[in-house]
Amino acid sequence: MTSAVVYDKNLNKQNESVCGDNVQIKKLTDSKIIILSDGLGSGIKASILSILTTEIIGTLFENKVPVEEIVDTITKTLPVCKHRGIAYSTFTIIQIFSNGVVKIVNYDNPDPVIIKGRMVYEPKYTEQISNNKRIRTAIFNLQEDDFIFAMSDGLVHAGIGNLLDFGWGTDNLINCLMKLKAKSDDLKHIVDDLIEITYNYYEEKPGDDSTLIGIKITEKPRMFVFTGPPLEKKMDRHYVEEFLNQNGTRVICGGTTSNIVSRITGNELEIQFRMTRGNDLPPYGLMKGVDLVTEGVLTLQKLNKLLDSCEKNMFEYEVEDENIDGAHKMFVMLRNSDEIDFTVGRKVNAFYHNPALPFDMSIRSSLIRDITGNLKRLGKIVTIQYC
Amino acid sequence: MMEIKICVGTTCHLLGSSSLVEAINELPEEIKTKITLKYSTCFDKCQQEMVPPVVNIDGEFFDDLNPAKMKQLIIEKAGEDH
Repeated sequence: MTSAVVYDKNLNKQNESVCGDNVQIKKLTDSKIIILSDGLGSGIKASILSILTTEIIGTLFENKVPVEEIVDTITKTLPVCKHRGIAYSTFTIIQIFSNGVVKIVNYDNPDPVIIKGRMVYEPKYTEQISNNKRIRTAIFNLQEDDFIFAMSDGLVHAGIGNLLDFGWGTDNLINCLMKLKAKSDDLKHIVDDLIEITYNYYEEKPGDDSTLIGIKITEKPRMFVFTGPPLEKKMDRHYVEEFLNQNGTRVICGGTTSNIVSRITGNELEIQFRMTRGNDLPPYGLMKGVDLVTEGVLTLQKLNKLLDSCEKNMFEYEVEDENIDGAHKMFVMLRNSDEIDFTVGRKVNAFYHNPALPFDMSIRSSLIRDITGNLKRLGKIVTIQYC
Repeated sequence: MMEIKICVGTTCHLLGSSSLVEAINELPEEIKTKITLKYSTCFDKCQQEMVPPVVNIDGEFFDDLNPAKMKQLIIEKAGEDH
């Protein structure tokens, strides 16, 4: 099943407090769509135009309205500029289907840069004129770890008239992207770095709103978390087998839970031989058929703190590449997933009520409730089954 | 070789199992070279039977350890082997 991890960043035109570009991401049953719009001019007026554009496109897309009709609707709906007498905003729609097919519909934004493996891929666009507007469409396939970078023209024009006579230009921008990608496959690093370079070419005074959307294709958009032993021991095998048959990223959260999985599958747990610094959390481990095994309640508690610190999306929290503990590893996995399914065991560990412990440990279910709330707030689809 | 498994489950961790690893690092070199150290998840001993942190040395369980007790225990065990 194909989906994508999406991260975007923008620069406002100098002296403007809002961005005239807007990005909207929508998860539909068979696809994920990413919409970028650049409104005419800058400031509030442009912002309203671009928000209206992405909203209209998103809603009509959800209702399976053909693209031509969507374009028609947009041009007829947007308010007309008093000075120039036109209603105008550009847009790029990227639709990633769960079977790996990608469709790009572009109107007047720079063509998105597509990186397949280590090469730039240039898809064949077909063009059609709709309401005197030239709409470019391309359909192609992508695989895991391929990238798409969509952008507004502010990025391509960086430096125009100042540092660079004719602006940065698409070719230079692509070269720069390739260099950044060769250095790191981390979506956030690439997007942040490219936006910073744009900012510098503008000599820290952007002449236009500039937005870059990084899209990384993933084949594992679902994540399954098994935490806590089932209430009835005789049900252990059932839940373990169900968990291991799931198609996606599999994480076990809890020592006893991992012991149960290990006992039933015969696969041994290998704990990473490295205590995390400050002994904040116990070390995590790996097991055949499972992507990550962490300790339970303490890790979940820290994970929830990380989620609490994010206001709008999970990229706000900076995760360092190295020396990360189980909670951070899980955070990154969650960030890369669209849907998360929790299987929560209800058996209570009697020792968790021991007064020797610094706090009440019998809080797994309330922790899961908090984590679920946070994940939903951050745009994830979450289901819980108690066992 | 002496095989030491330290529990890094939630309760053992909270009650100081990570400091036991440091205790092993502080042992004399000649003893350290005779030790294979592993981490383990819950031994299922802490529910009334034993007091965390729990350690398994060559198949035998020891509980309620602290760094000093741990060092002492290993030194004694290493002496028995000679």
